[in-house]
Amino acid sequence: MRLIFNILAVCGTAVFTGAMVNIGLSFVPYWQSLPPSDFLDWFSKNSGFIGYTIPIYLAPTLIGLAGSLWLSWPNAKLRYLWAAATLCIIGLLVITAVYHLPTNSQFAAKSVSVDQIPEMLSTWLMLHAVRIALGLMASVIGVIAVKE
Amino acid sequence: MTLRLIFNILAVCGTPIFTGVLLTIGLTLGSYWKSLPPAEFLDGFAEQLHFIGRTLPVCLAAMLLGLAGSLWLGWANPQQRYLWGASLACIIGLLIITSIYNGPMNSQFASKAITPDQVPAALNIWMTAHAVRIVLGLVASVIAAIALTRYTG
Repeated sequence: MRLIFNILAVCGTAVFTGAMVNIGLSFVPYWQSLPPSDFLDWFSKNSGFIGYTIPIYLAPTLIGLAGSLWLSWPNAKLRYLWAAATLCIIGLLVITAVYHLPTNSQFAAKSVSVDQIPEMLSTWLMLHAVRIALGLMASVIGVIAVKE
Repeated sequence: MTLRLIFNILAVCGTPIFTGVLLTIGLTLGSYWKSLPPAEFLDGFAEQLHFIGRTLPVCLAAMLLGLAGSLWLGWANPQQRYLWGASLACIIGLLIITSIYNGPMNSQFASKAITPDQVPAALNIWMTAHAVRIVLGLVASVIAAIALTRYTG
């Protein structure tokens, strides 16, 4: 049981991070290469393809981290490590809820003017880099916890 | 932090990160490509391939370095050798499929060497081969995570 939760936690977190790396390195530069009005057209039409896949990555991550934290609770060092990995993912989700989801909704609804797009995309990418860093930290901490 | 731990982190994080990139390509871009009229798909593919092509080598390098290093340092232990070897073999299988099928097909899509009426069938086969690559990446990731739990000190 512990092994299953550990595998879900480590692999799930890193797969989720890989998905975000691809969004950051492939999708965002593509969006930035488009004229702002074309970007808004693309995003309003196609952002659903990104949104519907996120739960596929997120569910195993959360189940694995919660299960690993639960089973390691009596061991102080493991509890600290799994809690730290979980906190990284919670931080990532807070940034997503506070910034990315509302901004994505604005892009999808085309409720921002085209001259705001370049700056908004830069901010979007900068905060996405923070999400990637948090995902990487959670992955590395998970590996260290499994190896303990 | 020991060299073994660094290689293990690169292997156990790098392999699922690479798989996550492949999953996004399959689930997000694959669905997007299939939603496009074939001619429009061919028009946009070269540009999108350029951006994807910048992402994969970064993840691939970390993963291969980690798996090769973990196999090297685990060679003396038969269980370690078997597990890291199996994980690396999955990734080699993935790379063979890429070089034999997905890579050449990408070039054909990008150069518009196939006609729009051939695109739906070609895209279906591309997605099937890509799904096999994702499965191999996931299997390699799980085996690498199991290998991590098999150190005896």
